Amino acid sequence: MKTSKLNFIFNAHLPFVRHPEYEKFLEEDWLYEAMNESYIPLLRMMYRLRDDSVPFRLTFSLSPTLCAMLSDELLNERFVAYIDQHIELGDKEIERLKDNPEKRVLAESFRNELVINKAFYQNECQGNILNAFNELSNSGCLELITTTATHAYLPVFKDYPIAINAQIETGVLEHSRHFDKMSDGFWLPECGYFNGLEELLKRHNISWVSLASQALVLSRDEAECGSYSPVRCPNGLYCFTRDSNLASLVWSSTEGYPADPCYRDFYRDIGFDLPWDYIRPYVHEPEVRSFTGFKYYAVTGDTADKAVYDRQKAAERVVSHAKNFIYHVQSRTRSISDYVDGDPIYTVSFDAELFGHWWYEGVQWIESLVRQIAESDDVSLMTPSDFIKSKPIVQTLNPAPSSWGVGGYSAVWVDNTSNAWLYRHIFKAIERMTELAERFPAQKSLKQRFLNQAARETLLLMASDWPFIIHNQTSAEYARKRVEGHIANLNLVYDNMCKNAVNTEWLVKAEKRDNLFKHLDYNIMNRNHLNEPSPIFTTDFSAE
Amino acid sequence: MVLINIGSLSENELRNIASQEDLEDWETLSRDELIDALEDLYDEDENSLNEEHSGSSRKKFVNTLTDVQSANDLSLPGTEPLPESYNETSIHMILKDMNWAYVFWSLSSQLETEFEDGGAELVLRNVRFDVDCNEVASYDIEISPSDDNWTVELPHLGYSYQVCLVLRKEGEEKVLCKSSPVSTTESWLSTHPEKLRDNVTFKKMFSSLVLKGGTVLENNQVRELIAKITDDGADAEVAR
Repeated sequence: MKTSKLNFIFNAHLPFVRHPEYEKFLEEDWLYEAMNESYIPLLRMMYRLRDDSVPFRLTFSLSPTLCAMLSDELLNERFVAYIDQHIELGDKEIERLKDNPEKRVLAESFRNELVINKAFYQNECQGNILNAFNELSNSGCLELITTTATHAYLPVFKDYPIAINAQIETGVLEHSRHFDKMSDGFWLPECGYFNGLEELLKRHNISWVSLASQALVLSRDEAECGSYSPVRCPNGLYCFTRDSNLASLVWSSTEGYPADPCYRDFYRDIGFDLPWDYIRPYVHEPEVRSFTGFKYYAVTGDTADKAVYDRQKAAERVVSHAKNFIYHVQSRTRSISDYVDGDPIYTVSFDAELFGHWWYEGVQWIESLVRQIAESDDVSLMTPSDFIKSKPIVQTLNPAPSSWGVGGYSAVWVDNTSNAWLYRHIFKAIERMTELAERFPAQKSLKQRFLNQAARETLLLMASDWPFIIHNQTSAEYARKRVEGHIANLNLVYDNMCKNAVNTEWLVKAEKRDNLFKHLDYNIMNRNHLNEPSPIFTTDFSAE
Repeated sequence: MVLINIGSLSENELRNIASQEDLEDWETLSRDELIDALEDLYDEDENSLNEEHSGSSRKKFVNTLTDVQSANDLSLPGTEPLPESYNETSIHMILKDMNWAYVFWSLSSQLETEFEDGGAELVLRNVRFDVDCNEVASYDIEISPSDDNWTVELPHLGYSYQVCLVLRKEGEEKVLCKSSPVSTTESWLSTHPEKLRDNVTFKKMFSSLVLKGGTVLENNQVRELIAKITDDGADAEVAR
């Protein structure tokens, strides 16, 4: 009997959004919502599994921008304020719903979740969520990996290997600083891959990546193993391709598990349902309604007449959906076992924020799945590094250029109806930053800080989030202004350096505002840097 | 602008959005009328954000039901309008997929003047190379002074492409700038159709690409491979 090996990879990422110049900022809520609804519930769930001695191995990619925000004092203070404010809203809701026992019970449970999350954050996490991820990694439950510095989608920067290297190198170094260990794997944002990228990854001792499902089917080489075994690039990098079939069971907005009528509806939220005067303190000025997390209805269907959410019913459905997932894995293994050598490996990757935030019951679903797998004889969990340590014999081939985006490559991030115009400016900024690094190498003191800040602005500019948001037209104006701001900042340094000047007032403000990647060295953008060994072999992280 | 999942919203939610958008007579409209009016206002397919994505949670950056961030009032430090172009002559090509590339270019102000004054023609030339870097074919696209980008077709897989800007004047041609080449790949399976019809290969390669509901991953190349099987009358095999 073959064992189906499940390789779950969760990509936790948010763009760097930090606005000390505002008391409250709408887009900063992305972080607080993800912390409260996804990251902390996921961590609590994994602590429960560990404390119950349930064996599990999962992989989490934590992006450097997310790590920077999770470690930021201001944002952590604001998160506590966010939680406290929502607990207060919970108290108001319990009072408002005193004559509606069905909804009142829900309000109490949402409020209790906030209280428990806050306690977990302050006690187990010690005010920094990364501590809890690190502890689970040290316990042997998680493989933690990194990604590009600002989640840049790499295929569009193919003509700028120095910029791609800067993204990878910064990602690898930031990971080492946060977790005191190297990242063996590397999350390619949006699973974006092009032939040749593996050389820049191996330069930093990366052992494996995860690719989009079609990367083997569309390879110019014959994939003898099919999609059920990892492969190696000619330079030895291991590639684990995503299984779209299994992923679609979980994430399809119309047919996936989260669309089940009895699960909690994401969109029906009191932030939009209740009178303005009542909800005002918990949303945004000027008069911007937003999600509060207090949601009392089940998906039900495409109707306004929705059923009140029933926790018990949803919990039962979670168990059956976890069972159904395992059933699908087992039946596929049966159908292919005669054609595949060894145990089939299924790589299933998701954005971490799907679980808890978008799919309220998603965290419970993972827990149920892990518990059921622990009792199974023929399904097990593994991480890519577990597989590599077993010294497997795998095929070497050239994967096809690919991504998990619509259409299979770059169309989402290079869309001439919405975001393609960005690249004229982003490419120019990269060229200017490279010019600065090469004209002014090895600067010290203020000029060094000035140039380091320019490098930070360049990396932030390259984030895949801005074209993605503009493509999706959600907060598009914010994304556009972020692009304009990072370019203006870079240009300010460029113009000043060309005049042999440093704008110190601007520098101090910019360092406080975009305060991530404290150890970034602008020389990373000098093309000669690619002729030097990766700093991961020479940096003493303990000395920092 | 977007409006998310409009059919699922309560009348209250719809009224709140309508009020926020200053919709005329919003107090007196029925739920269906509110939905129609808001759809008109946003001029969007209500499902634009529910677009099925082959990846994962694609609605990541949403914290309101509409894109209501008061953008015009949003002030971020240091933002400045971007220039329309940079005073240089250059061209770039980015692959959108294996069949299409996005091309954009800039002209120096001197060339721009020369071009706009008339007497000169500018063409975008797409050149195809084989694996040994030999030029195989090319085609020209005439462009106007107001153009600064184009989406070009890459008609044959397995070749490299390079675009260049060519100035034609008084019967002579001058190449102004060239992009870096981009390569397209042709899959091994597309050149071995007999393997596609093999049940073992099909199960090994394609079973992970069939989504819940029976559709195949949204990817032209993958779908073309599937079409090759069905074109050859092997529908039953695929169904099996």
